[in-house]
Amino acid sequence: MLSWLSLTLAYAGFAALALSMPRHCAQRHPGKPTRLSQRLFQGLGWGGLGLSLWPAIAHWGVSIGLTAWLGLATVAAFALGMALSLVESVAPRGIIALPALAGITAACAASLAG
Amino acid sequence: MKAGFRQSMAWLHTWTGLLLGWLLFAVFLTGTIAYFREEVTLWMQPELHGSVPGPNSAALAMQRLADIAPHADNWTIALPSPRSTTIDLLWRKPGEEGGRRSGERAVLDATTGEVLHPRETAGGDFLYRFHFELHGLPRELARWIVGIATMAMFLAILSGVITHKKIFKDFFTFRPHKGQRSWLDMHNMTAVLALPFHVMITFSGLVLFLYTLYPFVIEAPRRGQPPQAAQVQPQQMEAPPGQHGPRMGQVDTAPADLVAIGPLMRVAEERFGRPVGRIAVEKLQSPRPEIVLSARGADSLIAQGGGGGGGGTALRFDGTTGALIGAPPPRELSAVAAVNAALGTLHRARFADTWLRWLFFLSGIGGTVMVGTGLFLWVSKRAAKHARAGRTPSGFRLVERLNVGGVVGLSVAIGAYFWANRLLPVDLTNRADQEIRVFFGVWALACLHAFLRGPARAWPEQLGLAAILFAGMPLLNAATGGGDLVHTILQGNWILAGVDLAALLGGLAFAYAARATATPATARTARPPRAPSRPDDVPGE
Repeated sequence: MLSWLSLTLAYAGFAALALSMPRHCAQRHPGKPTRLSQRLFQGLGWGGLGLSLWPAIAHWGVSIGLTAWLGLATVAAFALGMALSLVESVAPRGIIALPALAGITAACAASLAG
Repeated sequence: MKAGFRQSMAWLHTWTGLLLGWLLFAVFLTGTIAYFREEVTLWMQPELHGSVPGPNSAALAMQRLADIAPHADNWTIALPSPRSTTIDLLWRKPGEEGGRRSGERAVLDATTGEVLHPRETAGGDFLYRFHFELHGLPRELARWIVGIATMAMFLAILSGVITHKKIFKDFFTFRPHKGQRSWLDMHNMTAVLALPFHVMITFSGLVLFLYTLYPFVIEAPRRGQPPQAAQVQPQQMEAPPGQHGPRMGQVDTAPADLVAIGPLMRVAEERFGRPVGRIAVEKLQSPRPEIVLSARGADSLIAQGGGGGGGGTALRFDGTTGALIGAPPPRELSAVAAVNAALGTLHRARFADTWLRWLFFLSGIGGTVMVGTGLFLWVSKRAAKHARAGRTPSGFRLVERLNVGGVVGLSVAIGAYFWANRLLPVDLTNRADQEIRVFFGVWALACLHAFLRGPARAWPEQLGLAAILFAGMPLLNAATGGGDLVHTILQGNWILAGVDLAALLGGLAFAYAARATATPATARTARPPRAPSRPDDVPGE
């Protein structure tokens, strides 16, 4: 379960980071992101990524945990990329659902792990 | 000045990538599959598919060895694990050398203890060996070639990061159905997202090659250890001096007098915190045989074990009383040796449990796609230019065709290799060599096909063939005596189900690619290169 927690947290982090980027933010609503929302999503994104590190280390120990975390982050980011490209063609406004979904999954994983 | 630097980096990226791209693609693809080398070998031996691990494997193995090899001097038992469903036995007669190929072996059904007779196959080992020493070339030469390709990969990664700085800005971007743009997106995405993996695998690959290319570099950290230190198997390690009890009188101890293995296993597993993977029984013909239990897997990157055992943790017991005699002293590694060990372990994913192994596998697939799309981009970037100019240089035509043979042709050859494993007669002499011959024969035919048919037709045709070969593997497996997919899934046998499912998914991916490339080539590649909105995204013209 800890590895799922790490995966979903990393996914949520990446999703928030994507929302802080002008390109993907434009997918959510037209116009440039405000400075505040950009900062906010950046903070959330890096926070999520940082947080996703601890379940990996708790599960595998430091040396293997760091390695596994890199692999999990790769998978999370790749899944997000694919999801973004899908959402873009199917439901452009749906992008906001992605981090929310990841957040819910992470919460479920956390409650199961704890 | 800065633009000039980035331009030369782009040049370096383009040409190191092209020159060694096909070889790197082959190394990446076979190396990625080699993460599941044991699983693939098991798939290729359907005679073993019926074996299901039970709770008493250890006792069963000891009992069967007493029947099969009562006169051996030592026994080694590899227990079923998440990567293997059988019990593998090895025993050596007194006085026999402890080399890698010596001794006698047997494979047991883990439930019944019956001796199984798997077919001869080159298995996953062939793909594993191919990824660093190719085939049919002198080993030294082949390692040099792959070592140079690894160096080129390193250069391509560094120059790629410098030229494509922009990729870090929107690396989640994949725009499908946009021709060259989509290929470039895919190239960037697989490169950036798995960048830590690419750097790690290439750098550690280089370090592993140092052992071949510059043996003298390795001398320093090894000094002060016996020259064979790396090959010491857990069962050959000596207990700390002074812990051997005084010799008892010369009692004739038959193997049957060995203490029951179950309690020892429980003691060891409690100490290790993880299951026992290997049992070694030594000095069987002496009055005081000894039993060494080694843990499966490792819990740190620098825990280095012998051959396939993986872990660095072991316990030694008195074989007649069951008393704990000691643990082999932990190897003390210098900082350099520890870094080397960690890199080697990382590269081989030796420590990895099943999930971690899948992560490595996925990253490896990412690397394979990165190299493949890179090769394709070299062609598609130039296609429009040549189309406008009205003539295609012969070098361009050559690369176009080699791309088909090197990328899809290899995939078809790997698919054919799996089919040959099942379709060649079981009792064929030199069966493993014949499987390899099919692999190279099909690869050569695929290259020939690309030259005869031209790339526009060869791409979809070969991709379609690869799709059929891979997607058909679960059916082939079930039809030729292997465990069928429904059964293996219900049984929870994820080793076999995993190979079948991965092949099925690969087949679907090939089918998708076949459909994508079957659209008229003009619609894809002759699109005017105005599409990229940021021209500096597309360097290397």
